[in-house]
Amino acid sequence: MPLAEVESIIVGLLVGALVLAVPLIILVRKVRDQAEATRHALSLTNQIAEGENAITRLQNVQDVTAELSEALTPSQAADAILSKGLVSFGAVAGFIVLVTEDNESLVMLRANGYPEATIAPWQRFSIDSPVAIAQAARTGEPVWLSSATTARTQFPDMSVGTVGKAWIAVPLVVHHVTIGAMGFSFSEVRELSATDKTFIMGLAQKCAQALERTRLYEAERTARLSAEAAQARATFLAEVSRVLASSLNYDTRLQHLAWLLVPEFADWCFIDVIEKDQNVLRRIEKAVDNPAKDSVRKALHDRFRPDLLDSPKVGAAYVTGQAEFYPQMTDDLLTTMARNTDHHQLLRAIGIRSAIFVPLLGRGQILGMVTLLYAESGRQYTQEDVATATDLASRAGLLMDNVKLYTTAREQNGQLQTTLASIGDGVIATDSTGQITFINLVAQALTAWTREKAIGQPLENVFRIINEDSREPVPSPLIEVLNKKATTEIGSRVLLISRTGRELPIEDSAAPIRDDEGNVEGAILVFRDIAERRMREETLQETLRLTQDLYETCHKIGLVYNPDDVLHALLTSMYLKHAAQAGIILFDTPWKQSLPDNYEIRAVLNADDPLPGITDFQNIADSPLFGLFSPVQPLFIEDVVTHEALNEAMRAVLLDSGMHSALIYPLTLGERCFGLLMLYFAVPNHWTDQNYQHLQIFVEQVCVAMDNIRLYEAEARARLDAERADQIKLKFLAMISHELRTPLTSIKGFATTLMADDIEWDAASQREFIGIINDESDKLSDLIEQLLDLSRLQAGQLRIQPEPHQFSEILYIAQAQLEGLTANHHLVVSLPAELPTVMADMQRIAQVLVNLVGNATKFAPPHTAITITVSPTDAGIQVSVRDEGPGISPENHEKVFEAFQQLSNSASQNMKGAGLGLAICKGIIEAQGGRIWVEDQETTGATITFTLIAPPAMLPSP
Amino acid sequence: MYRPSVLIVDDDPKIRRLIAVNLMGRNYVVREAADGAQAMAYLGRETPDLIILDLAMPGISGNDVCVWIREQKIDVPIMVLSAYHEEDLKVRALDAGADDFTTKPFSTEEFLARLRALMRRAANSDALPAGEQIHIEGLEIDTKRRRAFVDSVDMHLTPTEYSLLATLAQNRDAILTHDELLGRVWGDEYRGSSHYLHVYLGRIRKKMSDKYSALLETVAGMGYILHSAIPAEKS
Repeated sequence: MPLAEVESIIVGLLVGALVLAVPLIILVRKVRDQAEATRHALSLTNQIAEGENAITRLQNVQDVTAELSEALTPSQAADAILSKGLVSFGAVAGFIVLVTEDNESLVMLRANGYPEATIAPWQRFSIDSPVAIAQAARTGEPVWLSSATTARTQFPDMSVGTVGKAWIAVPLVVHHVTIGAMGFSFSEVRELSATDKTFIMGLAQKCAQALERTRLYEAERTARLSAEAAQARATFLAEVSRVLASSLNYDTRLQHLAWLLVPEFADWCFIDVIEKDQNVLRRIEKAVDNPAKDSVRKALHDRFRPDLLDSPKVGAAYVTGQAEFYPQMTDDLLTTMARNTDHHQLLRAIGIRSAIFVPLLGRGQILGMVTLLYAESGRQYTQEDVATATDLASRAGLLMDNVKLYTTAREQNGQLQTTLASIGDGVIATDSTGQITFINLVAQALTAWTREKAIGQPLENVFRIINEDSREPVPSPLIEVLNKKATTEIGSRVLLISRTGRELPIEDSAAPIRDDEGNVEGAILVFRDIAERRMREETLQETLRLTQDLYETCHKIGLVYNPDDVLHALLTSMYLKHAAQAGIILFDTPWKQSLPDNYEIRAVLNADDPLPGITDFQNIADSPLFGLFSPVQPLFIEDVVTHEALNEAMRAVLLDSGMHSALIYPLTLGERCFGLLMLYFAVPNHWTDQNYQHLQIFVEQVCVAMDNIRLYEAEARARLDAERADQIKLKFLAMISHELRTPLTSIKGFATTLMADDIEWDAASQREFIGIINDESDKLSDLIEQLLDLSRLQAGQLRIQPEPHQFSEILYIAQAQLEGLTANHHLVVSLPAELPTVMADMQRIAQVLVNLVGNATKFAPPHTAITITVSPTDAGIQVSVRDEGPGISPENHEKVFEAFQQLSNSASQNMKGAGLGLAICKGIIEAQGGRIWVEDQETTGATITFTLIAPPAMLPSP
Repeated sequence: MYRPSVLIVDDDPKIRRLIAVNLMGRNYVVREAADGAQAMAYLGRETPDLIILDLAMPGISGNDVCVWIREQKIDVPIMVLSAYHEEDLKVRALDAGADDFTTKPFSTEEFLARLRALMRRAANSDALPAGEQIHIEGLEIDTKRRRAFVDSVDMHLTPTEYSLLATLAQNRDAILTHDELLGRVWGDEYRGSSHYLHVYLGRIRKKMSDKYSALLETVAGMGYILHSAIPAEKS
């Protein structure tokens, strides 16, 4: 019902009463407080407004949380905070800064609502700057600036007044580390309530979590991208290997290589090979088709033949054997590379953007140089490209070297053995039947065969290889070489099994050996141990898998809305999949110094099994678990049997449940430890530091998720309460309307009866009618008084002045009224001669007494006894009013004191008064330090008892 | 001289007293009941000319009493009293079989005028030519006994319902406007209160059964017609 309507009903009713009261002067005095009643009635709606505020606020939190959960990058998270968050805070502008890695500066992540000029100087600034945001980031404490005056006092240097009239700066804290801060400007001077602050801090925490989550996501994405790039490079290198192996001809191979590199890997590519005399270079060149630069290429080709000594800069690669890398080519660099002005101009004409010079290395010797240039395409080389170039150059070098060795061997037969023997890779040569004719030292070491034993053996005896996955033997590549007479490579994932049974991952290639006529007279096999490389790859893969798991699990936890789903999402992580039991419990009060009394199990993996250390103890304080860890320190038991810090009681509890390891995490938000996450395993576990870091992140996510769930539940409760309050209010209004109209009906009815023209009432009737009008006016007046009292009680404005009195004085005041009320009953007062003086507002306590007795007369049958019993207590006195009516059922013992409740129940049933009386009594008694309650019933009838306290000095000394 | 009898049902003795003194002063015979049970007990023995019934009573509510009275086929005009003033409660009471409604507080003059109108309405059919029987299809209106029948089965109309149907029947095939009907059946002071009509005609239609309800046509925005034969397109 709209407030205006409520008001108009009450005003209407009261005005009606007033109109009727005018001819009856007796009424005027009694209804004078009507205007005040109206005003106080309004306060009844205040609770509703507060409930609605709370809902709006919670909805805002949900909005922000929902948007944050969808953000994938810190920028998106920041946008979500600054768009939704601004609205939630009621701010006009806001910004977020992040702490740099060195902890010395703050950088602007996003700003919203500020003029460009205001925000421009603050892109990066010292964390020690004398501004609120820096203080928040530095101290981890929020700064509240409710007005310009406060701001100037605290931060004299802060430029005040550009945007806003009040400001807040809130730290963004994740896992006790401040990662940044956010600031908001408000258009009005604004004093934030404690609730506002808690709300803002809660929101800040969510923002911080979201920023951290998106940062992790980005890290995962970067890792994935680099893994993909590595894959692409591997493919490229495989292709290079294939090309290099495709022909025995030196020049053809390099030509092919150049063709392969352009345009995928270079716009211009030069492969220079050192000729025998060490200073002359033979050049193979390839560039993207570009007729505009044909003349440049030709001029370079004709006029500036490559020379080993031509450029100290480029030549450096020849000397060091290391790649030279120029991500950004500058004119100055070109100058150092050019042989003269002409050369310089030609180089400049190429339009080089980025360059890599990588030596061709074979057998530790520099065989030449690959020059890779990006020009036309405008691309830039990266460090990964350098690695790729180095790798391909080494492959080219390796095979060049092999061929060169072979050629050399052909030329200088005697040198072959020595050369092959000294090569860094394993080399095995066979004759055309596949019998080993040569095995170098490296090959001997890898196969564990000595040269003496290996020579003359069939290759497959010495070079035993199997597929790593299927464990099936892989056919010797030599067979293929000898059959197809072409270079071949064995497949990936091949293990070499040495004579001693050791298994080594290898990669290799084999090539035919030809005589002068080109007939295959044998084969040469080159292979290398890639165990180390494999291990690096596997580590990378593992890291990737963990990161993926981390991200996916966190993501899942962030998407669910009830505790069971949170637990199940958590248990999808590869770390926790094998958990034998797990649970989330929440405390009734936060765990700080002392343990909470009670807890609630909100989620459990196996509902029928206990949560060891928790559910097997009636009382949380009896559990030996709590001596082992603290609200800020989780408990990791990797092996129950050997864990030293574990007490024997807890060890027994765990082993009895069949658990051999356990992780117990306190669920903590801010300083508040609100519950535990418990994970149990049937086997011992050993986790690495990285594992624990990831688990910690999961736990933080669970904390946030559980906090969200708490918020959702609070919101649902608040909504229910608000709806209930609304219902009660409607019933209350209907009731009040009825209650006011009842006496008014008699008043108006008898007044108009008296005014009737067609009947002359005799004097006795007239007196009767006026008497009824008078009585009903009294009722109306009482009702209004009660409404006023109730409103004042609710607004805390009821004037109560307790002073020291004897109870007999109070009884004396109430006596006339009590006797009037109990005309049809038998009033019994039991008052001891000696009673302590008590603090009481005499009129108000008399009112309570009259009210209680009045109630009793309404319910108890006529001629039964209504007994007032007064007795002393330790603190003062207690007064009971007992009747012989139907009594009050135990479930209503509390409710009878709720004004609205009582009313709503009586609306359609037995209506004996508005039921405001007991609510008012309770208010009056409690305002004087006393208590009022319904006694548990032993016989029939109802007994209501209240206490009054003695003045401090009157109390017996302890 | 005939003194009409009135049963006052209200749990508040002061209200009973208020109505009683006014009615007795004007030559009515007054009976009082303090709750629904007393009222039912009385009605089991005697039938008054008018019932004044409070809605909000402890125990059996006025509405339930109203429903019970109509179920007992007691065709006595009922004036309902209540402090509730909401429209839906008023309609509910009328639906339950009440004939009129007075909201507390009221002035006695107005209340008495309404009572008189209600009594007049109940007696209205006496003005119709006695002994005339109107037959429309299977619908029979016996103006002498003030009863209506559908296929010879008593429709058990309340006095107000009967007056309404009889008025429509006497003017069959003519449109009677809302105000004409209100004026003739309830009295001129009720002109404009067309929601009364809506409730009553709905109830009459229900009692006419599906077979004949098409006889009674609503002329939107104007009034009602009782056809002397079921219109072709609707049969």
